[in-house]
Amino acid sequence: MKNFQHKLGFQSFRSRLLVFLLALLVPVLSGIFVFVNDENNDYTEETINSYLDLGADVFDFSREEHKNTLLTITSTLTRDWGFRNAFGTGDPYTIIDAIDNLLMRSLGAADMMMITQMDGTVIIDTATQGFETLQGEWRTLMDAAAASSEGIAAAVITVADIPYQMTVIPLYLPTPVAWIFGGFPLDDQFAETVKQSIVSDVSILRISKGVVPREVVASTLSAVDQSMLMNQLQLPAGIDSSFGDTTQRIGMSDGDYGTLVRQLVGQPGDELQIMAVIQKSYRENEQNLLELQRRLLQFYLLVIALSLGVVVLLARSVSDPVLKLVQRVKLIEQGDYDQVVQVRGRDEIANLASSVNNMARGLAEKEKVRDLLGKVVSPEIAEELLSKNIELGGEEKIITILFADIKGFTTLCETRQPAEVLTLLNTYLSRITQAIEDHHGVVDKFTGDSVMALFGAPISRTKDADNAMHTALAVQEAMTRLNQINRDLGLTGIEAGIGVHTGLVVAGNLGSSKRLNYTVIGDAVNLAARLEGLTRIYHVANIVSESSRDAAPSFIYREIDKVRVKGKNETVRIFELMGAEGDLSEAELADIELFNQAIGLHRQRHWQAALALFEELNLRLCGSADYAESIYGVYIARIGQYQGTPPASDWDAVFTFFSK
Amino acid sequence: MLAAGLMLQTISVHAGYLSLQALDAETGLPLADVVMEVELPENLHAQFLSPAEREVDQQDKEFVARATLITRNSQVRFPNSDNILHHVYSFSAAKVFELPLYGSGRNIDYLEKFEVAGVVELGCNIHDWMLGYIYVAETDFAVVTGADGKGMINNIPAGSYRVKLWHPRALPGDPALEQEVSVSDGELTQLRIALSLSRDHRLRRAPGPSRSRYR
Repeated sequence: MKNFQHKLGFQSFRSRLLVFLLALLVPVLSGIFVFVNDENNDYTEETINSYLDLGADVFDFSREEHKNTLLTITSTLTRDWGFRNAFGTGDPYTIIDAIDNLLMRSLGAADMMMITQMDGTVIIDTATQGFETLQGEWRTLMDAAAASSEGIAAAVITVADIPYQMTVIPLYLPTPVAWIFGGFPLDDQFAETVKQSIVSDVSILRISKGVVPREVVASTLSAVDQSMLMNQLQLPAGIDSSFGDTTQRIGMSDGDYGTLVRQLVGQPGDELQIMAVIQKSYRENEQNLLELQRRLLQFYLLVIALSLGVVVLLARSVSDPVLKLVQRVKLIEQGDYDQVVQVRGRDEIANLASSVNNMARGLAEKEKVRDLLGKVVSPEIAEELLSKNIELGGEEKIITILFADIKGFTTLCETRQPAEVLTLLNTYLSRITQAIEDHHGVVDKFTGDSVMALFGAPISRTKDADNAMHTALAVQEAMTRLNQINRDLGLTGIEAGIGVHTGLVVAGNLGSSKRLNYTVIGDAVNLAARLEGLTRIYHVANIVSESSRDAAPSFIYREIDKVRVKGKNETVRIFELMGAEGDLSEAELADIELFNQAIGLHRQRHWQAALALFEELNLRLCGSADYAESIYGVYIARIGQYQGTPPASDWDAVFTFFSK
Repeated sequence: MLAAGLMLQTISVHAGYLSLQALDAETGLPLADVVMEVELPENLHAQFLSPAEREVDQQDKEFVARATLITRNSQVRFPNSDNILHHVYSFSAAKVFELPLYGSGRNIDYLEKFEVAGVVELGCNIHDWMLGYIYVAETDFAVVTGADGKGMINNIPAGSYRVKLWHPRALPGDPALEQEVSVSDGELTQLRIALSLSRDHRLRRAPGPSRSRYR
């Protein structure tokens, strides 16, 4: 699962890189594609347009050449002596034969001829159109020739429903005596001939208003394409000077064709119009464009594939060491500082790996220090010391101080080997320390056979005093258990004396800048130590000051005395912690009540009554009238003294100690 | 003119003079090659007809003179002064004839007789641009203008006449081409006529190279 997550993380990094790359590449490549496409489309349009322009020009040129050829032929042939002679005879049949002869001699360049008088009276018409004098467009053509300096004119005229390119030239004998008209048809063959030179399709379109709206009279196109052309070709309603240069795109059976129109007869809107339509297919250029697009896309795929490959390699070069580092850091998290992660190179990740290795070393050292420190000082102080900058000086705070001392140890030392004593002592101190730490106390120091513990320093808690009371009870219980075990070894009389006081101290690091202790100092510390010492005098397991009792009111205490310890003027009410609420039996509670009564009687100087109660309590404790080493014994002895030497009248029931 | 001189001696007592000043209506300049012919009654034709021999030369691929005036029944010689061959022809109604290809020094003694009055257009089958005219007049009372556009007919019997004018480029039907004149005994009648001309439909000469190569 972890591996999977790692892979997922790796994928994600790679994916991000890929997405970034694609986000970068795709718009750029798309932009290039669109640009190239547009340019090519423009280029195709331009190419087709120039093809068509060229085609139209060649068409015009070709038609002009045909015209000139026709003129050359008619001019040359009509000056033929034989023809002149034949014409000179004035015999119509001879003239017709002469003309047929001329047409044959033209090798098809001329297809029809007509000869008229200079005034337009028809002499001969090979097309036998049936009119006797020239009319309409024929007469217009003749007039144009007469008006020209060369006596030459040309026009497209429909003969027998076929548009003919006609020319006219005078017959000189030697002065002009007749008009010779010559023409060739603008038919499929002509279109085909032109197509060979312009490599574009050519159609001749005719519009005869009121007769045939639009018809193709000659074309290189198939019949289907001819009708498609007729249906789609846009023609202006009136004269449009730009129309001749405007390329139309017309869909034909095999693709779009660029289409250009050349007006041959009439103007847009005229009754009769004949026009040449020149068309060039886009197919070839579009195929080129498709080929270009295909190549471009192949190139793009290659670029993207290469980029992806590079990105994957790049991602791996980053993610592999990162994965190693992650595993390394996880091991460090679990406390294994000994692995070393190897990353080659000099990049940031190599730097990071090096830093992680250094960090692991640092952490390992720190951990060692912490371990050692935790053994020398309490873990909490060690934590405090490690977590903050160590400074000399401290803070004032109210804490609860607990002193625990092993009573009767000195006697033990005398009969045992020192090593044995130390082992035993360590056993006891370990239990005490455990009890302290179980209740959030901090072992401040060991002094011989005593332990000083702090509740509320370095860290304040809401129930520091309660914790101290629980600790005291736990220590007592631990001592009892140990004693039970040790009793089998012949060891008895080891008990703990505990003093607890709550008061203002100064907590902080004490010592020099090179060597220092975290500790607390103040009168409260001394008092707590004194109270512990008093346990030997009062023969109680613990003594708790009034301030501690007030700070932990949920326990059951009994007041032992009011004392004035050495070096202090104020009196201190001292109590013995009896147990937690609910822990005590009815009998024990009754004893406490009885003891309180006895103390009260004693303070009121009712010696006899007090004595009786103490003796009663003593009897309950020992089961005999012997004075045991107990608090009762202390009071029985003290009452005995007071009975012999009563205290002064201002006796305040405070017992003053003059020694420690 | 020679013929007119001969007649002068015979009928000088009852005769007058007719002069022409021909002008180009467009430019106002004197117009050459204008023929003026006085139409005589048919019964007088024979009396005033003096056939003669004339010559239309071909020099530098042109007819010289361009317009030649003869009377009916006159004979014309068509020498060739060029060193190439010419082929003179006419398909005109007044005279259809041809002199097939001949060179310099040939046909010097050959005379073509023009028996019908009218205009004969001369062409050359080798040189399409060559164009010449022979005006065959009915009688001797005809004249052709020179470069100064002037012409004079002498010894015309007094009377009223229709006078025909002709020019190669005169517009057909131009009213100026027919005039009514009165010739008085011993008097000079003066005609001053401006003619509008049509486009010159002569063919252009062949360009230089052929000339320089064969001359």
